[in-house]
Amino acid sequence: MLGSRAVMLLLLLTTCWTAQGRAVPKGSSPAWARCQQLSQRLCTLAWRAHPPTGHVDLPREVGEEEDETTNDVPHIQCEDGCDPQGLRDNSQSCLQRIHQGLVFYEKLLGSDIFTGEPSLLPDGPVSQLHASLLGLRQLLQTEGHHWATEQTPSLSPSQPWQRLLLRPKILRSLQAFVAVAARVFAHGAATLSP
Amino acid sequence: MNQVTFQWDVVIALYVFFNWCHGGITNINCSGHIWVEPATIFKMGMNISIYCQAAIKNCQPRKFYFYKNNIKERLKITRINKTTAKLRYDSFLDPRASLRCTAECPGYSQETLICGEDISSGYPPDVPDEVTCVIYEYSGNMTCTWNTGKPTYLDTKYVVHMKSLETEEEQQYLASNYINISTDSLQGGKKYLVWVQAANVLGTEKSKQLQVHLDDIVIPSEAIIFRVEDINTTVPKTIIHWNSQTTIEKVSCEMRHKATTNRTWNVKEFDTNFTYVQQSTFYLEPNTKYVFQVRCRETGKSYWQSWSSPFFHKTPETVPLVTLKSFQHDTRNSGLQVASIFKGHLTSDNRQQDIGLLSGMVSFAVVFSILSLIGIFNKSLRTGIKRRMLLLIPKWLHEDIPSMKNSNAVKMLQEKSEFMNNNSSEQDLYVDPVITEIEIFLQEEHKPMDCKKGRNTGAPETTECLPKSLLASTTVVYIPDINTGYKPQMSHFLTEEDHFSNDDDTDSSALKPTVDSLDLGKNVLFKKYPNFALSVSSMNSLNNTLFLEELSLILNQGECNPSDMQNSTEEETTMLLENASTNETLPEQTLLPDEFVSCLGIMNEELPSINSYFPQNILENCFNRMSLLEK
Repeated sequence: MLGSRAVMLLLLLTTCWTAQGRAVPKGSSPAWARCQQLSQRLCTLAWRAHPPTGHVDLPREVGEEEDETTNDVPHIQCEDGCDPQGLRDNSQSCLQRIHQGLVFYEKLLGSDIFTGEPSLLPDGPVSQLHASLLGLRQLLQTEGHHWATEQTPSLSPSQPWQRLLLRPKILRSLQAFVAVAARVFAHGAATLSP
Repeated sequence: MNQVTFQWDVVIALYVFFNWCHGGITNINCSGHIWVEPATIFKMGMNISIYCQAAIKNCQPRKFYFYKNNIKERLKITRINKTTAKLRYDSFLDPRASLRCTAECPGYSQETLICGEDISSGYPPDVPDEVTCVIYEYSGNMTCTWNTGKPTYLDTKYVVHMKSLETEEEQQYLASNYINISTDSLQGGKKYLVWVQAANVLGTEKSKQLQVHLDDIVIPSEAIIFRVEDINTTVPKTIIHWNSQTTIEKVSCEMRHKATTNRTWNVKEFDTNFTYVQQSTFYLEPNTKYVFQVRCRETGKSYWQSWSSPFFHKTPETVPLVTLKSFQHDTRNSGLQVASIFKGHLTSDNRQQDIGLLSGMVSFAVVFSILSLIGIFNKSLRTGIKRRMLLLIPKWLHEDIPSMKNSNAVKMLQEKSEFMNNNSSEQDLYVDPVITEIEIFLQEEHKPMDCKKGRNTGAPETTECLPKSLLASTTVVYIPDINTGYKPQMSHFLTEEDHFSNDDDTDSSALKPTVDSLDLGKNVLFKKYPNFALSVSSMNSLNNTLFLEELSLILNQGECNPSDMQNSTEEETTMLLENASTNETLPEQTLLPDEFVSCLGIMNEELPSINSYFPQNILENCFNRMSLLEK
């Protein structure tokens, strides 16, 4: 009985792993310099949208620590090959992870979390950040990289009071992501550009 | 049992799968409960209380914190018990607010989220009023609108009820601020009762019932101003072209306009028929930007169109100032019909008259200028006009006053001269002779005719006989003012035989043109009469009084040929009498008898001034003296 359960869980996990799109990369190297510029701009905008000071400190959520392992937020990890050696050997894996994260945050920034009440400025930092994310994602995609499946966030309708907490939460996560991505593109522009 | 266990395992697996694939970055984990009294939606201005109850695992909250719209609230927080706290608001006025509460847990520097809530305040709906239902032509819908009253700040729904008066059937339509109801759905006839019911969480209100007939609520198709043109006629005008696609025959319209800098509209109402394009004429201020709008309704009905889109037009700079006046081209009538005058129609009529007068004056000025130019450049025409004008108007009117010719005596002499010139063609133009020096020979004493002493200011030679010398070398020319109509006059002291001779030797440079101009080389009268010569200089100085006296002595004594002088005087008098009744003609050369001049010289002490003006009484006295002398 336990064996069947384990098999079932393994199947489900395998299915989920496949759904996250660990596709085989293909295509040529991206325009590292251009990606570097855009990623640096993303960093600037992300910090401008959620500066480290002047905002209410996010409260601790009970159970959040437990969810860290199951959090669907894309993280650039060691196995993604975004280190200098990994980039030199095969940059596609890293680029795929970055692309995945860009799609994820792009959808979050376009959701009601950021578009609903209380409304944000139409041309404020979040709006610019959303546009820049779109630009970098399209730049990676037009380089001939087509990844089969992308990771998408769970977007259930949120209440206004929740948005006030979700927005800084998402932006903080985005800051961490684009910081790593910018370093990847900076290294690529310096060492891998033809 | 195994089957149930297996299903449970599948559910667990799906939960794990769900949580793994759809992470918590978009979720908020609450550790407690928050609620609002009396409710999360309440009437604006009420006192409310927010309660926060913590249910944090392994945490006995030391302190509770409340946040409203991310701002920490520090007042009116009451700790109710170990796990619950309360925040109170007096007269809460925010339409919306997001609240959350946190707790300070031992061992955690970061606040722990308990939960949050959104609250709203507002008002119950007012009674909807001004319910209006219209059918825009060609729309296929009945549009109902109403006044919702003051803002509720809450989600308020309106329900339109339509009850047929013919079938008693009632229909309801959900709306927010207005509703479009397809006319096809109105199957209960043409008469309906309409009312609106407003409702939100705080209350419900119902409007008054409105009875409508579908045929009475049709609004004609929108009228559109599509063109404007400026007509540069004598009175520039602006024509507005507008039209509507309505099929309604009887339509009442309003057109309003104003300068963009003004606030006051000029509105004009008229009935129209949109079988043809409408034209409205306006007389506008020049170089001004105007805005025009039009709206219509079915004649006799209640509902107007909304005003058409503003149509801007700037009048040209050359358009003169005229009144505001509008015409409507009535297509059923052939003429222009004055439909309305916006403001001051009484003054506008006066202005119309002024415009006509102004145009007439302009036309007259143009024609007069043309004729004047023709007259200026056409000498013959000018002369003819001048003569005819002098015939028509009284003589004193065109004479310089004072002037010697105003004298009756001079007039008589003029007439005499005219008689003399009658033989010449009237069309002959007079040409002034060349001005030469005035030479007068004076006789100091009563000397015989064969005097050998003479004075010639112009020529030093001395003649043997005064008449001869006069004839030969003395030509006294009187230069009158050309405007007075007087002609240069020569005084010839002629001998008898010279009167009828055409002696070329007797001429002077000044005489010749005169003779030629008269076209009478054998002008009997001219030579017959001893002509008078009056020096202007002699009249300009009192010192010349003696000069004239001496001249008069010479002339009066007739020493050179008294008989001739006598005859001349007689004939002159005769001619004066003969010409007394002759018609006055254009002024010609004015001839005065020398005796008359001498008389004037005698009377010089009576001259009031040294101007070339002889008071009439002086001349009349002279005539009297002459008569006496003759007698």
